[in-house]
Amino acid sequence: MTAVQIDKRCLRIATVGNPNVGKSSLINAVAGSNLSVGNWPGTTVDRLSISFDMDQVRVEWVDLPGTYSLAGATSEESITREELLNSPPDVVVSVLDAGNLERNLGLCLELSELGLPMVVVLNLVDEARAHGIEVDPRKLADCLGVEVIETVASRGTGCDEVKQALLRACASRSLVVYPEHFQSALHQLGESNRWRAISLLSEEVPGLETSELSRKLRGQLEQVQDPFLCVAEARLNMARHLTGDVEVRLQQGASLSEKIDRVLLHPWLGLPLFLLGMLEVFRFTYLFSAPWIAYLEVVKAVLSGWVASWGLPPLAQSFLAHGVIDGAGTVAAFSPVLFLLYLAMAFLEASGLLARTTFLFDQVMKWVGLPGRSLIPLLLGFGCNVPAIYSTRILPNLGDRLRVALAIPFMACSARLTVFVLFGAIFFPKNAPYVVLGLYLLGLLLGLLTAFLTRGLVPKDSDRTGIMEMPPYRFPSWKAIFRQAWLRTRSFLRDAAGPILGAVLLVWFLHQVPSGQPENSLYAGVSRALTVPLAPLGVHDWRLAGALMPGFIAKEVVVGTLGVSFLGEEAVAACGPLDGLQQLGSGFLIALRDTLLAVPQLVGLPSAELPPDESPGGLSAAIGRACDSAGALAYMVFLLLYTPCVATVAAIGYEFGRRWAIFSVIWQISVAWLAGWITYRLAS
Amino acid sequence: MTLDQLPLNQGAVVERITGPRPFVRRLLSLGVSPGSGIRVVRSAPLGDPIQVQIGRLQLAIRRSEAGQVHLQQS
Repeated sequence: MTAVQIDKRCLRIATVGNPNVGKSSLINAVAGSNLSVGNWPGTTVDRLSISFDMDQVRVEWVDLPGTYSLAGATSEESITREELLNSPPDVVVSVLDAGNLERNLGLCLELSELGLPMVVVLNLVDEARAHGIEVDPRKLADCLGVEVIETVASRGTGCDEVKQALLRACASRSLVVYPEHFQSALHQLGESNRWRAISLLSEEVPGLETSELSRKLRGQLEQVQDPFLCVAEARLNMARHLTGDVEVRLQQGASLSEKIDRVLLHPWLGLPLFLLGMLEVFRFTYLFSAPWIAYLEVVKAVLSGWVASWGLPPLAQSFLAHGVIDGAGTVAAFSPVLFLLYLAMAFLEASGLLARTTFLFDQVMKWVGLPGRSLIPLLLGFGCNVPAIYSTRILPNLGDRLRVALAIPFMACSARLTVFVLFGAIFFPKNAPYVVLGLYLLGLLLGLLTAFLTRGLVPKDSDRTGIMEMPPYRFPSWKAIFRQAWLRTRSFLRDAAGPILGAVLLVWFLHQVPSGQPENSLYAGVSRALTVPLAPLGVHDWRLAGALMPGFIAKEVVVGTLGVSFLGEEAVAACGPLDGLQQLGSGFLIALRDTLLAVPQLVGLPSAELPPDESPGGLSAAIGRACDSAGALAYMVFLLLYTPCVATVAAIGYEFGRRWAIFSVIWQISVAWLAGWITYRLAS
Repeated sequence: MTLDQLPLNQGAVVERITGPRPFVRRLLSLGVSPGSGIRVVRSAPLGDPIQVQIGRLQLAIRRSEAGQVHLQQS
């Protein structure tokens, strides 16, 4: 091997490999960075790049999305191809799964035709060994002509060797032997980059410019054999041949993954087990977030109490307590739920369970024209719509992602449940659980209908095969999962804090102008205007209509707003600095205790009981006088459907652009009004 | 015979793959090519898709697409 001397202060490195072979893990291990790692093909959707120092060399490392080839038209293939051709890195790191060598070598052989300096990383050697597969790295290095390093990236094994190899990487050479007629066409074309030459002759590659000569040669080749198949077969044959040379396999019984699959994908047990697992995710989220949301109330009360003790003018005090502190509290109240849902999501992704879900539900989702895995974002929507929107990233096709994202806000998130519980108890004391269940089903149905109606958004010829790899189960590293959940929660707080806080301040402002009785405020004026379009739904009380405005900020605050509108604002009790600190401390301990006490409750059968209603006393009676039961039902339906909350709208805008966020709001308000109106007509 | 007709747990060898180019490419790049040994492990509880094994690789593939994978007569 002759090493290419890289005399550079800055080294550009790109990782290329099949999906799910540990590219991101490798970078994390070498650089100690925070790339997201999942056991889901396609975790890296964009081109990610990070910079760090390695032995006094500045390294820019580009993590390219997992791909099976360089020539295709999917977004992963395009991103990888453009990076490698247009800004070729100093070193290509070809990451291989030691347990799937033959398939992984196909891409590696294609890569080596680019002629770039290359290092081959043989990852997941532990998993391969567990399956009785041994690969000889020295023999493979001899065959390929570049260095081959064995690693277990998730544990950091072999990373130092990778670093050293990067600094003395050798240019790769092409190994694949093509049939005589193809070789001679290559020779005639006279293109210096071998990969480019082969691609020009074998197929239409997006972004690769053909010449008259290349078209002519390809025409000639096509008369002998489809050159695309000819190239693919030559590469596969070489991969097969090489694998046979360097790999030793021991006979094995059924693998652990297969044993787990026998239970989880069982013809009868599979579906109920999945639904039980999903219920467990929500139970986990609810049980562990409730103590911390309660604690945030304590923090809010203490902060407001401190503000009250300063002796500020009433307006300033109200601004701080009911504007700033309540606004920040609303933002913060999202984070426990979000963090826990993201944690569950990260576990599902990294363990390989998500891929099984697709397998189980592909048939169901096919009815609405969606791939099976879109069930996951939809179900997450019942917990909170915001992470559900972001989790649509598990879908490879942008059109499908958008369709699922438009359906998600119809899923009744846990925040809406607080309103359903209150109204259910007032107007339908005997049938509350059924009314609430009916609302959930209505949301699900309308969401699926939305996805069905928007199926035209996906072009017919798009690359949407139902082929999916089912990765072996892996027990994910807790550190990686926590880090991923935290990063996602942080990005939510960063993106949504502004809109939520702004909206809370706006509502506060409407309440204050002009000062005086709440009935005369601007808020009441706007609310009264809202009763006009809501009158056909049987909602005539301005306080009910008005609560829909803060409901747009977060459905959590609807009950609180109703409390203020019907019963007046609760006076803020002033508290001293020491008193407040003591409350904060004891509240924290209580939250911690309640979290621990929640652990045994994780085990148990789902119950049909609704959580207790915790709204202030007297509110029920006041609302009970404000409208009749038909109007209440229509109000609940409208509230279920009317618009995604600000954070969800922001998420849709961030993922798909402002146009679709606005579309989503308008679409939902229309559907909500129509559904509410029909409900009122039927009920009265 | 095509892959969707292959009985459970019976080994077979791929003869040729037909269908749209992206589909053929995806299978080829996954290492499923003429000459590959293939076996149907199970079908999903609702009948579709099916899980197939090629070497150590486990794939889910819809029945309609499995119909494009032709197997050698044994």
